[in-house]
Order: sequence, then structure tokens, then C-alpha cells
Amino acid sequence: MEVFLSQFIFGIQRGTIYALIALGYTMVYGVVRLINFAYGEVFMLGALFSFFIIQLMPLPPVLNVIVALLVPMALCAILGLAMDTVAYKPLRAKPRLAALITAIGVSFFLSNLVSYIGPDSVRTVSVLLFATAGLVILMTLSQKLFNFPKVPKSTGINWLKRSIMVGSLCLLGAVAWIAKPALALLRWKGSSFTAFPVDKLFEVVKYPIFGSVYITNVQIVIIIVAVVLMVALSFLVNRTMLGMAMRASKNNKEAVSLMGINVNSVIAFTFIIGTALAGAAGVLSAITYPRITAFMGIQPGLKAFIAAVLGGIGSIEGAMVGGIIMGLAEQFAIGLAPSSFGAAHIDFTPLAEGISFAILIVVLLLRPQGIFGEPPQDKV
Amino acid sequence: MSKRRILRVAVTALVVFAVLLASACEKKDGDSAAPAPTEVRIGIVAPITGDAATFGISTRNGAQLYFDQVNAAGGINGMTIRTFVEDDKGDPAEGANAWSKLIDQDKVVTIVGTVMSKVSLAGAPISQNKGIPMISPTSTNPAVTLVGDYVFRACFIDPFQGLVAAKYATQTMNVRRAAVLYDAGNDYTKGLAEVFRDEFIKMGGEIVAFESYATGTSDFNAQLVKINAVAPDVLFLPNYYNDVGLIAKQARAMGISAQFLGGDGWDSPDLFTIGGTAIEGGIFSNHFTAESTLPAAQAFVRDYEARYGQKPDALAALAYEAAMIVVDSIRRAGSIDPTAIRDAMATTNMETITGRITFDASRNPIKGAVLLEVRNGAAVYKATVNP
Repeated sequence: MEVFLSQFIFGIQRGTIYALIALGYTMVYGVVRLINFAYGEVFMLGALFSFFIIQLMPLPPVLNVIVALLVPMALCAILGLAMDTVAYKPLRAKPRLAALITAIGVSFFLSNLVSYIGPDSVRTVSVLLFATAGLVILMTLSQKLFNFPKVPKSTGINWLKRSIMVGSLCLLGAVAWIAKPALALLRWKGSSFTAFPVDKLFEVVKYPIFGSVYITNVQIVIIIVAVVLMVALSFLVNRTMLGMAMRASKNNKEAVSLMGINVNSVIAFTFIIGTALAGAAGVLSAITYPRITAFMGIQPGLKAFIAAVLGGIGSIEGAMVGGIIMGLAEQFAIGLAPSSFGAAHIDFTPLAEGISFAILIVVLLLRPQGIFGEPPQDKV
Repeated sequence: MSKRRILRVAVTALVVFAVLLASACEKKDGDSAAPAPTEVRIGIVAPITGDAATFGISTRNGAQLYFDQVNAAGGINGMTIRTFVEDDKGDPAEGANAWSKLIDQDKVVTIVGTVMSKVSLAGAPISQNKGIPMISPTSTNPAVTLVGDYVFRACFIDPFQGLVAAKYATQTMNVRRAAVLYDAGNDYTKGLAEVFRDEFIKMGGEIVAFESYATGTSDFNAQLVKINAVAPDVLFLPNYYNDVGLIAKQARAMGISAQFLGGDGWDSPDLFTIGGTAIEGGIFSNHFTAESTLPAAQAFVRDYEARYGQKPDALAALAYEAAMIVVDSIRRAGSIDPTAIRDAMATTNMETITGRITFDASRNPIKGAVLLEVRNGAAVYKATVNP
């Protein structure tokens, strides 16, 4: 009984984090029909921003928790907007597969870029940025001087756009160059593991419930934050004009634009909210498991995607329920799997750790639309 | 191009070729003309540049230090040691080139090298075929010495640390109930876990939980709840420092009070930053510590620090030890014939900076391991465990 209850509490803890990332997947899918695979990386960046803030700002504990959660959420939201503008918006009218593959590209780009932003290799990043800026200048000049490749007048060189691009690349390069000593000071290690200074936020306190079963303040905080965020999200989607526009865009984008609503800004807002939630999940995860790396988002990202599919992709309640079910399923599968079975010491734990993928297969076979999803419409 | 120009180029090429040929012959003559050897040629291979450069530099420094000390004390049987250092860059192909160059061109009689197992595995067949003994200071992959009878190593292989932990738990701590939590996706951690399990049972203990996790996991609570339910005296964690730090945190938060034991995968300052107070009191085995109380080890640490301005790490110590074994073998062989050196090396039985060392039938050393304890966010010397 005690073991069961303990596993249950830890399962909820695991599932809450999946649920928060799954919300991002599901919201964007609901509106744009795009699976943004880069959410795992936004999750990682949320943890990373939070890490930088804690290192930089010695604030009083309670305030620190709020700042270390809200600022990364805001930064991740900006990133989400940038992601949409740069990578997905230009492909809106293109086949959906193009945007999906771009999403995978964005995911790899972000995790690998961050893995290079350690004190050892940040100067490489800087050189790469300068080289890209140089390349853009070179291409522009060759286009201007030799008129090669031939471009129609209407799509010719947009000097303002190019200048902004080169300028921001150079600026980023300069920041990366200067950042080296700062990063060493922050003790960020890029692709290797870095400790997340959770002690600077609060001390872990245990509240016994029954026997050896207990709940910690960390678990209470992550569950409360997650519930607050989910309730706020439900309110936003179901009770506000923006939410109504989102739900309407989900059904029929053409009709929505005819009503005078800018579908692109609705989509941008969806990205902003989704990435902010993924960023929050990253911070909560780093608080619970205080170790961060550039590749920490890959696994939770995948699991959360499965959670979204399980709950019914596109459905907000589905993402929450799916995340919690996934967390509990994993926890109990690992808890029940014998890890040294029989005389041959057969280990079933790796199998149990993969239960999420088994769930994905079963869901896709039996109920592809997920628990809360709308059944697929027959195309005549 | 005019005919005269072609002629000029051809003549120049011919002259250059002739000069090269002459100098090459001269060198050969000089070599064979030496009647009694006055020098011992020894090769050192290490990744001095590349990703593992810090390891490589420590390795070269450690070996070079000992050879220089021997020369300063009059050399081996009246002969001076001349070292030839090659950089393998951590790349097997570069390693194979280094081996060929040292043996064919520099005519070394023994090679100390190299750090990474995959590179040692590229050099070992060359040593074996040409009959030039080699001793790797730090390649722990069991396959390295299995290449042939000319291949030795100075470090113990990984699973030995499982035995060390089992011995410490049953004999020093005198406990009987142990649990294990290891990374199932890593041969290093799996090997240690299995050896610990078998040896601990052999020594009269009971394994009350034998749990694993997938590589990359951050949440170990499911396994730890199971371990907590059986209340072990000892929790063996043969994993890398970052996992160990997280496991320790989650285990202590849950109320698991078992003694944590581990292997050299713990050896990183990040163990303390991630594990915090939870890892305090944990004990792990390692090849060497600069805090060893053995007089020979203290002398080595002092000399190394005086010359290089920093404390030696385990790699420098193992390279120093490998150099000691080489010099001892040449001394006992009484000649610089590679086969005689190999035969002497196989019967090594000497005191080094980590205690007494001998070789088993697979040319793996039988030697002691040091145990370190985490105290106030640092690893301090606890004890030496002999096999």
C-alpha cells in the first residue's frame, strides 16, 4: 500500500511535466495542424534561461521562484514567436509535410546550437555567426554586381531586410564572443551535464502523509503551478475572444479571415502560449531533477508527444489527461517490472521504460484520434 | 615548357633523390655500426592534442617524469633512456601510424601507450606482429590485452571495482544486505554491477534489490521506491557522476539511509555540485589519489608538482607506474631484446606508487585500488583495498 501510494505520487509528478509540454503540442496542432517537434528544445531552453537567471540574480527565495519561472516563460514565448515567423509562417501555404520536416530541423538546430554554447566552444558559435553574416553580404554583393543568379525585379534584393539580418547576425556573434568569460563564470557546460542550483530557490521539505509515504514542497509547487497554468489556459481558450478566434481558426481558417480576424496573429499567439508552457515545464523539470544539458529535451519531448496523441491531439483536456496517464503508466510499469528475473537475471526494466511507445502503438491501432479526439471525418 | 626546362627539372629531381638516398644509407650505417647499445629507445603514445588532450598530456608527463628520473640516477644498467613521443590525437588510425613509426623508424624496444582503449586496440596488433612489448597505462577495455602476449596494461580492468566494493561492504563495513541500481545501457556500469552482485553473494551477502534504468533517465523514483521497501545496508551505484548525483538526491529525499558505494565513474567535481549534501559520506574506488599515504606515492606527487606545477591525476600516476614497470622489466631482462623484456614484464612483481603489482595470465595487473570518501564536497582518501 505504501509502495503503491509513493509510486502514485511520483507518477503524478512525472505526468505533470509531460502534460505541460503536451499542451504546447496539442494547441498548435489544433490550430495549424502542425506538430512542432521543437517543443522538447523549448523545454530545455526554459531550464537553461532559468539557470542563467538564478546564477545572475541573488533574489530572496520566494521572489526568486517567481522570477525564475516567469522570465524564462516570457523568453520562451519570444522564442516561440521567432520560431513561427522564421521557420513555419513562410511554409503556411505549402504542404503540411514541409512544415513538419522543418520542425524536426528546428529541433536539431536548437539542441546542437545550445550544446556548442559552452565556455569551451562559444567562440566557435561566434565565428559561425560572423561567417554566415559574411556569406549573406557576399551573396548580396554578387547578386548586385553580376546579377547572378537572375532574379525577377519583384523578388530582388530587399536592402532593409538584408541589413537587419546581417546586423543581427553580427550582433549575436559579438554577444557570443563576449559571452565566453561570462559562461565560465556561470558554470554552464554546454553539452555536458550542469547542476541546476535548486538550493538557491528553496530547501526541499518533506511532509509525511502516511507511513513512509510523503510529499515534498517541490512536488506541491510543480503540481500547483501546473494546475494554475492549465486552468488559465482553459479560461483563455474557452472564455476569451482570443480563445474563440483560436477555436474558430481550428475549424475553418478561410471563414475566420473573412470575418476580419488575422489568422496569422492567432497562430502566433498559439505559438507564444504553447512555448511559454513548454518553458515552464522545463523550469519545473529542472527544479525536480536538478541537472541540465543541451539534450535534456529530447526524451520528454517525445514522451509528451505521445501523451498528446494518447489524449487526442488537438484537445486541451486530452493533453492534460494523457500526460498524467503516461506518467502513472511509466512509474507503475518500472515499479512492477522485475529487474533481475530468474537464474539468468533477465532485466525487464528497459522494457518497462519503453511502455510509452507501446501505448503509442496501441492508441494508433485502436483509437487513432485518442481519448478526447474527434473521430476522423470521412472524405468523400 | 621548353626541352631545356624539362631537363633542368629532371636533373634537380635526380640530385635531390640521390642526396636523400645517401642520407638514408648513412643513417642506417650509423645505426648498425653501434657495437654495444648505450641507449634504450622507448616510445610514448598519448593523445596530446584533440578531445582527450588533458588525458594525453597527463599521461606523457607522468611517463616522461619517471624516465628522466631514471636517467638522472644513472640510467638502466649504464644505458640512457631516450624517449620518442607520438601524438595519437585520440584517433585509431593516427594511433596505428604512431606505432608503425615508433617501431620501424625509431626502433624502440618498448612502447608505453595509449590512453583510449579504441586507439590501444589499433596499436596492439602492430606491437604483437613486430614483437615489441607495449603497456597501456589506462585502457580498461578487457579486449586490449587479449590481442596477444606482448600487450600489457597498468590499470585494473573495470569489473575489478565491483569486487573492491563487495569486499569493502562485506569485510570492512561488515554488512550483508546490498542493493544495486545501474545504467542498463552502458557496458561499464553493467559490468561493475554484475561483478559486484556475484562477488557479494560469494562473500556471504544477499542482494536484496538489483535494479536498472535506461540511459538518459532523470527520474529514478520508481526504482528507489522498490529499493526503499527492502531497506538495504548498502546501495551500489556503479554509474557516472551526474546520474549518481541525482540518484543520491532522490534516494536521500525518500529516506533511504544505505551507504552509497561506487566506482571511478564518480570521479568528477560535478558529483558534488549535482549531488550536494546527499552524496556526503559516499565511497568510491579509483586507480590513484594524490592523497595516498604510501611513501612512494607521496614522493611522486611531490616531484610531479615540482616539475609541472599541478597535482598529478590518475592518468599521470598510471603512466608513471607503467614507466616503472618498463624500466624494471628492462633491468631484470639484462638486455634490450624486446622478447627478453616481454618475458621479464610478464613476471613483474614490484612495489609501485599504488602498492604491489603483478600480472595475471591475461597480462592484466593484480593490484590494489584506493577508496575515496566524499567529505565536505571533496573526495578524500579512505583506504586501499588489495585483491
